[in-house]
Amino acid sequence: MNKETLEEHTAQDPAREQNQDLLERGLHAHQGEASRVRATSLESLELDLIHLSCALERYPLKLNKSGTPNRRSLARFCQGIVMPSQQLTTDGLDLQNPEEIDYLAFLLALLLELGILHCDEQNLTARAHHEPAQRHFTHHEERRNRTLSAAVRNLKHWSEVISAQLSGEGSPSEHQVEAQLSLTQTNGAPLIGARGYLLSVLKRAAPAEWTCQDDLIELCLQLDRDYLPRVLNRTSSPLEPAQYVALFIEHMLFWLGIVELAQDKDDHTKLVRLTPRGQRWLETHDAPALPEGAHAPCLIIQPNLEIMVFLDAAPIPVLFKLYKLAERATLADRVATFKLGAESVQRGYSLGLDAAKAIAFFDKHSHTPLDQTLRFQLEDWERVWQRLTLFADGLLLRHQDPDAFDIILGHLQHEWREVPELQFIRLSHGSAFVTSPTLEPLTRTIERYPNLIIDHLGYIPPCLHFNDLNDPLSFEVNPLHCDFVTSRELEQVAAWERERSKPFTRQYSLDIERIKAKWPEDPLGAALTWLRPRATGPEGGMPPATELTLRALLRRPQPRAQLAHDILVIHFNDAHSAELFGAIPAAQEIIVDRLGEHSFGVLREDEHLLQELLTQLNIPFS
Amino acid sequence: MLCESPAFLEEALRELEHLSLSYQRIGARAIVASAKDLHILQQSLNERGIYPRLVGQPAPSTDPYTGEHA
Repeated sequence: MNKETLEEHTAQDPAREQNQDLLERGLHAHQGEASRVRATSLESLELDLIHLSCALERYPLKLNKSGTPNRRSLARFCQGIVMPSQQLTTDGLDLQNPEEIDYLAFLLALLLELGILHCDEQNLTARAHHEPAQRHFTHHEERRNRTLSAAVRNLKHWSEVISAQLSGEGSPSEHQVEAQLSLTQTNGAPLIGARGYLLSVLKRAAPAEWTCQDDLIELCLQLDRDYLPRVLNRTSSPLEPAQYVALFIEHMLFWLGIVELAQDKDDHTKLVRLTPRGQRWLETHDAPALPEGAHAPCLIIQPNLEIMVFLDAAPIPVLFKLYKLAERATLADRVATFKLGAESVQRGYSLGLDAAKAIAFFDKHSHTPLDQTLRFQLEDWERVWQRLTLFADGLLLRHQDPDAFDIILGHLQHEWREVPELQFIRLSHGSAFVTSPTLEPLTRTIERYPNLIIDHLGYIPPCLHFNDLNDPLSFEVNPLHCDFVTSRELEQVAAWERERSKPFTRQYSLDIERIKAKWPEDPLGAALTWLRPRATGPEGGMPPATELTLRALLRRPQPRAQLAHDILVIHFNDAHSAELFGAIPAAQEIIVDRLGEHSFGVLREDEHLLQELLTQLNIPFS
Repeated sequence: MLCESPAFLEEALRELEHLSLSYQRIGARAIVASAKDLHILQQSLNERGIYPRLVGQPAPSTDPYTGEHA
């Protein structure tokens, strides 16, 4: 029942006209006065999502074997998370409070659904400043609404049914808490269709004014009477459909900031209405337009490197960028304080910013122009940050003769002068590093300067694995373990067997014709020289079977073997006796070949001569 | 990994001592390591409050020839 809409439901329902009538009559705005209003916002939820993902990027969350977060590890991530419509407490969320655990589980499930979290067997980590977090948080509201809406509908690792159990009377069982926190169980998956249905009803009913919550629940139940009971039966939920809808409104929609909740001042009837952002999120027909124009400055940067942010004026993309550069220190009354520090700013630089971008960002969003001292500080941190550079790809060039190397480098720099991404960094007299995004210039270099040693660790890594005992010429290669020269020359000496290959284990077979074509003058010698440092067999090193096969196929004259069926072997029990026997002229006349230190081969037809000789020598034989 | 000064390289290498990293020193300011260890190197430095500048694209998580995932 994925992606079900109200339209599909009403189209299948024989009482469609009655449903249409129900919707057209709509929900009546509540006439009484609302009190005890509970309000939150989607922006608050997004702030919690950014805060949590940034924390998870820095420190992995340890998982138990069952896939649930380790409680002790989880405590670290409660800091700075604000329960909707409540004030931030010093310790953040309380892990003893089932409802607060539930909210944390909801946030984790949302981040997982948005693709921001990565879960392996032991840890949960976030890529808070990379795709797809970058894709989500840096976009305008309309696009964020859509991605968040899709994530909410498809939540698999959080369940409203378990949420009801956690917020029910009495203490929830540990099993229920674990089930909600689990990042491997998909307890929310059976409810995907129900969420789509309820959001469709809400979109059509669009209660922008205070509305009686029970009326809204009744509308949801009436439009398709069978659907919710059917879904809840499938999940073995003890919840009645009305309870499920109430919980959907009071937990999921409220936490999302889609609805505000209140009570009638007199009769305490529960009231609900959509927030303006909630209306845009649902794309209701009369949703208020997005506030126009550029946002006003929202940051106050103080000389002590603290930044005050007025959250109501701060767009989420600005907050997201601020999290790259600064640590959030406090949050109170919709004002957050961030602290700029050497570490936080350098982390921001390592995530794609630099001093110029940081200064431009602060200039744009600060109430006042950026102080000269702070500009200097940001530039100084950039200088410090540049003290250590990791080059993810590139070439190491080395030459034994520094003078010849100077000349070669001069040629190369001249040749590649129009490729700005190519930089030459001299590391020592005989070595230089080239930042190269492509391998093409290297190929040319290899061909033009054969004395130039090009590798990545100073030796050729053994990367050709000869493990097939039945085929001595066949071997496996992981392309990522190969040095560049091997990768390039592999195709010149071996054939790639695509059908037997898998990702990262490519199967090759040495090709005799290619070897002869590559090294026509001495194919065997050159092939063995090329293979020996690279080949690794089951016992390590070049397998003898491979070398012998190559000798048989490439050596002239070819090694030959003779199967002798008429040879008698005479074996002595000590090497010296065998040595003396081999020196006797009569023995030499009948010996065909010496077989090691102790043995000789004799033709079977000369057996009587051998026996006579042994008798003469008084050597007992059997 | 290229450092501004030999002293800074020594400092960084001390921070990486606990890793069983295969690398070779080149000159007084640089080490060369396998690109597949880049993530470990980066993460380890980050854990110690060092956020190095990264130039270039890290090794792909797919077969560079076929584009297939492992």
